[in-house]
Amino acid sequence: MDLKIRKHAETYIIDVNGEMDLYNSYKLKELVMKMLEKKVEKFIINMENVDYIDSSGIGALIYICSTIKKMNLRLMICNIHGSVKKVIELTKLMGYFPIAGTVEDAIQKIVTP
Amino acid sequence: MPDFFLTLINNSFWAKGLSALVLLAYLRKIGPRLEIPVLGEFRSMVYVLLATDLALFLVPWIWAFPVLQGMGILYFHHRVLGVSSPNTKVSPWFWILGVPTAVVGVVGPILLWPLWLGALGPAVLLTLWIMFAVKLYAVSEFNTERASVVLASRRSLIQAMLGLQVVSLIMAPWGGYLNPLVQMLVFPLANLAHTWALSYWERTVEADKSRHLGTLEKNLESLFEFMIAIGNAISEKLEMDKVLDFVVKSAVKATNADGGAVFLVDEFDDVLKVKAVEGDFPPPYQVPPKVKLKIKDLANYFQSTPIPLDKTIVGECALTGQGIYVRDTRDDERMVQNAQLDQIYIASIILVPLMQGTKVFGVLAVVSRRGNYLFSADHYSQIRTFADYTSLTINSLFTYLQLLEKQEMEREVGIAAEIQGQLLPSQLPRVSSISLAAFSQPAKGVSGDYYDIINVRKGQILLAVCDVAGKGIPASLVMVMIRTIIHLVAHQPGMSVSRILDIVNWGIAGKVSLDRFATAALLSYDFAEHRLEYSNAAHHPLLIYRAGTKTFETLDTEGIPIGLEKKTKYNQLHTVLHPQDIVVLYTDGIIEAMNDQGTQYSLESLQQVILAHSDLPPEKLKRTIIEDMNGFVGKAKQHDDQTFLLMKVDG
Repeated sequence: MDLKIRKHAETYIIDVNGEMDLYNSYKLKELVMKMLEKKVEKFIINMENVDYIDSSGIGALIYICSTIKKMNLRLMICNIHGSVKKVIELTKLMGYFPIAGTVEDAIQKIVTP
Repeated sequence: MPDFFLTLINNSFWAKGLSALVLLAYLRKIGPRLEIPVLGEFRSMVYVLLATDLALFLVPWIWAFPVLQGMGILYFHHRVLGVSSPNTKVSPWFWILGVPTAVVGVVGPILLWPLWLGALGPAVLLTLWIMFAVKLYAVSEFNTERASVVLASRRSLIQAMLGLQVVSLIMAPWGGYLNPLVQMLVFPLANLAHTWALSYWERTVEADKSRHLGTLEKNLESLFEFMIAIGNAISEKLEMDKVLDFVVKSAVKATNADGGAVFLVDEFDDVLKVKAVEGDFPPPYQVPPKVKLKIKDLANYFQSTPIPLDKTIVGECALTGQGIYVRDTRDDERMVQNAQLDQIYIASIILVPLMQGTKVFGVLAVVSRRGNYLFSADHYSQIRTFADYTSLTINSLFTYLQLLEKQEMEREVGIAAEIQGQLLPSQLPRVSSISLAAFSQPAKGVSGDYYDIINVRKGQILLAVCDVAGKGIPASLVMVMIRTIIHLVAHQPGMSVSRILDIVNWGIAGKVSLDRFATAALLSYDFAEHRLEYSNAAHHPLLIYRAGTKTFETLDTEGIPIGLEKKTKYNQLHTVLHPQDIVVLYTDGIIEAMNDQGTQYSLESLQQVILAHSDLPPEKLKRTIIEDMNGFVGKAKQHDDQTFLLMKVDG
């Protein structure tokens, strides 16, 4: 898994590339925690290039999501598709995660809550 | 006899010929040591002089002589300059003025022009010489490579040549040009000056070479030291900060710099931060006027101010991934502020990127703050070597660390596998009116899946399937907690499956890290009433095979995974089972089992096997399902645990 960060105004977009599984999901968690330390307030996690996620990956997303919620900051997860979407649906977390279609939608939703 | 002797001595040819021979002898002596193109030019010039003298001896065209010789000498000077500094070109004025003069010098005597016209040649030569001298004096070590040789020799060159030109100008019209004193002293001395310049140049080249060799040796030595130190760092404990500190120190030492620094790229802010500083390293960019006053403020400012990637020379280096070498800060507009202000004075700077793969993760920089000590191209290549090696080392260290982490994780998984072995029921309870079968296979050593079959009381049985996120000891502990709670509450009277899930969730949520959530499904079956109750916490729906209609049904309830929110309440559904009905509880590892082509086994396949073999007892049906699934998957490696429970109503 490979993580890239880009910036759109105040919003940080994390592009996740590759599989989110037991052996690397912690990286995303660590990155977001680091960003929180640096007072980043608006996050978008772009899952466009993630084709596989296991329960550890979902776990990482839950952890990130709840931490950000607790701090009253903003998060959007976008471009979930295929088996990733299936897993999230199956675990009944579609309502739990703040989900947007594309990156643009996510930016829109973050700017106008 | 004395008359003949006087004539002989008065004839310029002997004196000139003698001085030319002395020169040739001298050249022969130093010749083997010179490996420079100018030598050939110089030697042929002496031959030309000798030849013109011989011609003059036979056909005394006085005016041709000073012009031809002077042109030769000027050309030679340009060659010296040209070789010592490739940037200096022979000025076109040299040809524009020199060629007509030569023509006048040759044609004049034939046409028997008056003497004063003949003096025109030396006069133009003098002008040319002054031009040349001006040009020579424009050379400085900042605009010319190997300026040192020109600087050291130009005074004597100019003085000797000026003397020669003045003498020829004054003497020529009055025939004094044939004066043996002039011939014997002035000309040979002027010629010797060239030879001296030549050998000086050669010495400089040699000194340069040996210095270069010395630098290479030192470079190798410091690299060697560096490699040993890095090796030690690995065998003890890797600390990135220490490695970087060491890199800066080595770089400063190797280049004899006044200061060095490492900047690291901040992962998501697009800025560079100062990580390690050695010696005296002023900010290589414009600082606000307030800060400039105190050295201490300046250091604080430098340490605490991140540098945007698109600004300053440091940012440029990180952004482009290219090394930057500024020999003299006065010549580079990016560094002008440092050349002007004493507090942040930098004379010379080298910046090179530190790479991890193709990504720039930092910048290594060294500065000189002494105006008389500028970094050379050697220093630049040395720092580059350093940075390359550092990048290489840090790359392998990262890989090594990742490997260690993975090993650690695998070891933990092994321990967890043992814990888990104790959790799963060692044998299935034997009960009347239903038959059971269970299958669970971990993907990598330890399973995140947990199943249980509990004989709650006579006539009622509880089946549980649970999939905990993650693996290893933390996941196993969550599994232990869930199992304990289920076992504690399942036996209590009036307990429903949804209530059990509520309690499990209540007990887990907030107690464990959020990424250790679990999906779970609970099923209880009452033998007397044939009543099945089912509650689901984000697990796969329950699959029921109806023997009567040979069709499948699914049961599902709402509810997010266990462990996320304390307040979560779960629902339950119930149905009545008939003889030969089969219920299947499974985890995603079953229906998502993948073959080489990336196709999943799917719920449909599972249903087809069950449909085709519904008459088999659960234990045999289990084996058939496993065979079918394995046949589908082939040799593809599975990365999820596989678990399913079968329950068939007897009769």
